[in-house]
Amino acid sequence: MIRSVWPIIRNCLAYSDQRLVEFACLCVIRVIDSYYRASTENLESLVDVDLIRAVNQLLLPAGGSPLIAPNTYTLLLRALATSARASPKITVALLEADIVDTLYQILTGVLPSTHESSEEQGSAMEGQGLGGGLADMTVMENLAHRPKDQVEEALSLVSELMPPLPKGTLITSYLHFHNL
Amino acid sequence: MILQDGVFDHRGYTEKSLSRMVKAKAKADRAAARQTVQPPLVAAMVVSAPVDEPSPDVGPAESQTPDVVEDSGGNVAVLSKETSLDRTELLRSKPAVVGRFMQLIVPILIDVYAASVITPVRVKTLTGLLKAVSFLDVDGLKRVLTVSFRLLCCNASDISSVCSRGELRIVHFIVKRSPLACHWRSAIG
Repeated sequence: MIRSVWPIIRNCLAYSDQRLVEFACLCVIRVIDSYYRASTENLESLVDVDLIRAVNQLLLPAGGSPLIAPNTYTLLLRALATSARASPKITVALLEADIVDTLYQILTGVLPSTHESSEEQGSAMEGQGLGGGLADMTVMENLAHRPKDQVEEALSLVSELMPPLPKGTLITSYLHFHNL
Repeated sequence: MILQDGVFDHRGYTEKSLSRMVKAKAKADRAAARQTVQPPLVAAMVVSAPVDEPSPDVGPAESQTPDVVEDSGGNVAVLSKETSLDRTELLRSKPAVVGRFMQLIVPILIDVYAASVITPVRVKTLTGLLKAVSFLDVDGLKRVLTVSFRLLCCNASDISSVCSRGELRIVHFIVKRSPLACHWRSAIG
């Protein structure tokens, strides 16, 4: 039943009516929350590249300010992190749907550069030369203005998209011991 | 002893917890050893058909094997290890998207780490960095990390011990892989 209405919900994510979009987002969030433990296969079939692109359009709108409320924005990020944790296929689908652009924008406030230049990394004159090509001040200002929950959920999503830690280390032994 | 995000916290360390962990590790090793021995035996008992059965029966027998493994021990460690291996293999099979993700996100994680003072944010950032550094090879590390990152790692005076432990693990991973290890080691020392 969900599979038959899923395209309708996905289309609703692209509507301009704010209230309608909010409810469509809640549908997506609740489906992910209920399926990520019970049925990963169903979740994989529902959270495909098309849905992720639709969600991506909401998180990173072309017009600038997002259509959805900050709370829903945070819940969507959390739902994406949950689905990435549940299935490696969804992790790959998220990466293929360019979720990295959204995460970059959330953490820095700007979109990533379209041209690839490895020399840019860490060589920004105005930065402290710590890690990225962006000035640290830009990152700091963006972090100060972003809601703390959004930053934390974005970092959780980054962590879920990363490959797992290698097995056999002290950390993973501990995590296994405590069933974490 | 260790936070949920995988960063070591020495404050929770006691001799008792260490002995518990050692016992648990020994138990897990024994269970893993049993797992390696058991599946063929159980499979031999389940598949009672003669060996020279026609080839169509091979399919179902193969499809039963994961269930047997799952039912015989229920060992979460083995399954989770397989899952994480699958995840790592799957990500390694997509070098373009994963490479772009690492190249864009890792430097920003370092900047976010440097710019934030909230411990949960720092711990999450470190967890991401730890995973990235443990996954990348030497060339990948060269692309995403700058040498001056070690300064951030070693400047532990203004941060909690939880973070500094995570940083030390990152340095450990980098020093193990990077050809600049000697240079870095001298810088750290």
